[in-house]
Amino acid sequence: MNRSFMKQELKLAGEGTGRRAFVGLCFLVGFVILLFRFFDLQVLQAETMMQKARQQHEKTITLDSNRGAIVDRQGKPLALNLDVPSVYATPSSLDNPTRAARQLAQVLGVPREPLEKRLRNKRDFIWIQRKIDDSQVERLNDLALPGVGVMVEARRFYPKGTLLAHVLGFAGIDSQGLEGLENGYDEHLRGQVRRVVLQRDALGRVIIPESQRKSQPLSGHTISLTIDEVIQYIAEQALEETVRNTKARGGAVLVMAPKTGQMLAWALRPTFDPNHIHQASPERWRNRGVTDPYEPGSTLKVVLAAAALELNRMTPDTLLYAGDGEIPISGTVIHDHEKAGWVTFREAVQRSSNVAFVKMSWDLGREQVYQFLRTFGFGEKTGIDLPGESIGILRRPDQWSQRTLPSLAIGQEIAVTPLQLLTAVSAVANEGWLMRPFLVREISDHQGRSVWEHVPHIRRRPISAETAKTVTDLLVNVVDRGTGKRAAIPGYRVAGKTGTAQKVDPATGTYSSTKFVGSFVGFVPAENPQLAILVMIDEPQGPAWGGVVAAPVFRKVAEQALRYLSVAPGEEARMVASRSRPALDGYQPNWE
Amino acid sequence: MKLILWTLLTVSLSGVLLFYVWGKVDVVRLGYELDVLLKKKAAVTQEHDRLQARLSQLTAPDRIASEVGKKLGMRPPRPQQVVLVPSRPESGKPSDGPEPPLRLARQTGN
Repeated sequence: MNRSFMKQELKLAGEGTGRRAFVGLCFLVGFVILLFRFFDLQVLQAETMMQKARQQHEKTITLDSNRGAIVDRQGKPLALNLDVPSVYATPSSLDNPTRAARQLAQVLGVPREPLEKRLRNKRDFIWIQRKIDDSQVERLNDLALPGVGVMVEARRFYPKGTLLAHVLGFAGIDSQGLEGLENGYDEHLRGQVRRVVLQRDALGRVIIPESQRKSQPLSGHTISLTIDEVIQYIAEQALEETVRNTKARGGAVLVMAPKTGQMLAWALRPTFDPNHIHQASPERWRNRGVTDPYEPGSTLKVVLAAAALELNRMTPDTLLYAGDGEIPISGTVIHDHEKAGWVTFREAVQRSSNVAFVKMSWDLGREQVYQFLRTFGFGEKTGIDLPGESIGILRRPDQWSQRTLPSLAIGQEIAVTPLQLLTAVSAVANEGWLMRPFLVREISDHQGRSVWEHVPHIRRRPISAETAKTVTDLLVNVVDRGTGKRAAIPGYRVAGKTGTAQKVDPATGTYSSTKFVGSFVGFVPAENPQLAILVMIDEPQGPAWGGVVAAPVFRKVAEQALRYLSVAPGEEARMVASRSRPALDGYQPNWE
Repeated sequence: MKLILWTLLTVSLSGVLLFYVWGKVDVVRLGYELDVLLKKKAAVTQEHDRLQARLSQLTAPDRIASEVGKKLGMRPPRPQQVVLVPSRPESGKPSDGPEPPLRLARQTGN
């Protein structure tokens, strides 16, 4: 009985152990499979899986940088960024491209057929129109077209319109600088384009913006100019009025602080609105203040007079014989405006006697004339911080003809940019120191911290302080008694020189008898020059004399600018203490 | 005794895990709030830029010159309307120090 019971017990126990072993084995196999799968996913397919996970919970976006602003010397914005909407489409999501094209064409005012053709391209993304206005956005929202959306982009905006357009230049639709300072300082202005990774949840919401954890400066730098918005406006108004009244082809007014080389105003006509660049031809974009050399005519006599005085070939009282007011030169005749006979050098400058200056240039000789022209900066770039500057035209003496030296004496056979001439005359105003002109005084980062400051640079000293003072006296005499009377400002001593240059007729290759450039260049107050101003009027109709068309513009600009800068009139020019502006503050200049 | 130790260990471990999860959840919640605030900041910055552009347009010299001329009848003073008066030094006797600076004064009447 007991034996059979025990046998039965052993049999049952053996069956239970086998079942448990089987179950254990199944679990073991299952775990091995899971382990293998785990190894496969975590090790063998690790890269692929990580990539898939990233796609699900991470979102990479490109952050366009905010282009830096351009401000004048008082911090007033001249160029800044505005967020504006742009419309795009995902053609693969469009239900009915024909209907969408028709509706979009109506709202945006674009041709329907080319738009429909673009919408039929099965591309993932296309821009339909960049930088649209708010009313168009509202109408697009009302349409609620599937596959069409609006995205906000930054657009360059010039709040002052045409003011300083040639200097500012403009930026393209993708915020890249194309002309002027926008182009020259693009590297500083454009900032950094950066990609950031955002963590997002299952609903697509951003959890932690990665950009906040790795904060980096994105915005471009702010550029502060030496230009003063008010003086710029004064210059533009005066130039505009004269160009309109004289029906001139164009003109220029450049204003410089002669002691530092800072440009205070830069007005050119014709002009353009950088907010609407396509409405003006590229010809109008040219910054003729630095790109287009012209024959300066008698304004060049300032430099030649300085050379003669510096070399002690002349004193203000040296007598010169101007004869009957004409002198034959290699088959042609150079004329004076009137017969002069014997004149002192002072009177020769006062009357702008061509004959006297031709004789003086012969006395100086080729090499000396050439050397002085070079020393005053002609035939080389001024070094201003603008792209596209021309060096002008000044041939070497071994390339000169018999006529070149007397022609140079009256400002022909040489081409200078308006800026070169103004810089040279500013050297006379600055006790003989030739400065490098500049437009940008400071660059600061998006938090307002200064990252770079322009220190004025002395290029060289063409003449001594004594010579500069004598030339200044001669130029004051030109305004007081000579051809520049219309530049005189009551209460101030004005120094300047007029110029009337014939233009070369491209058809005949000879000097035109109907096309002239009237100009005036000078500085004020003569004792302590605060402003050096060049006025150039291109092809005025009617009287074209520099003293008639350009000198009054000088007076208008200088009179208002001096008042604005609170420069008191009088024998000893003083800044008015109560309202003195930091406009003409000096720096300790550096040598180049 | 052993049971108490195990219980304490389990509770401590659970506490640490809960604290870790709470921290994670709070970070996510703050992330959402931060995102909302960043969007608000972007909107305010955009509005600031727009207003700055508008201000810049409204204070343009040509507009001011036009407005004051038309609405207020103002014009640049003629030379005879500008009067120069010596200003007093802020401290010390008038005879002290350098020559007193000049002030510009404008005659208001004709």
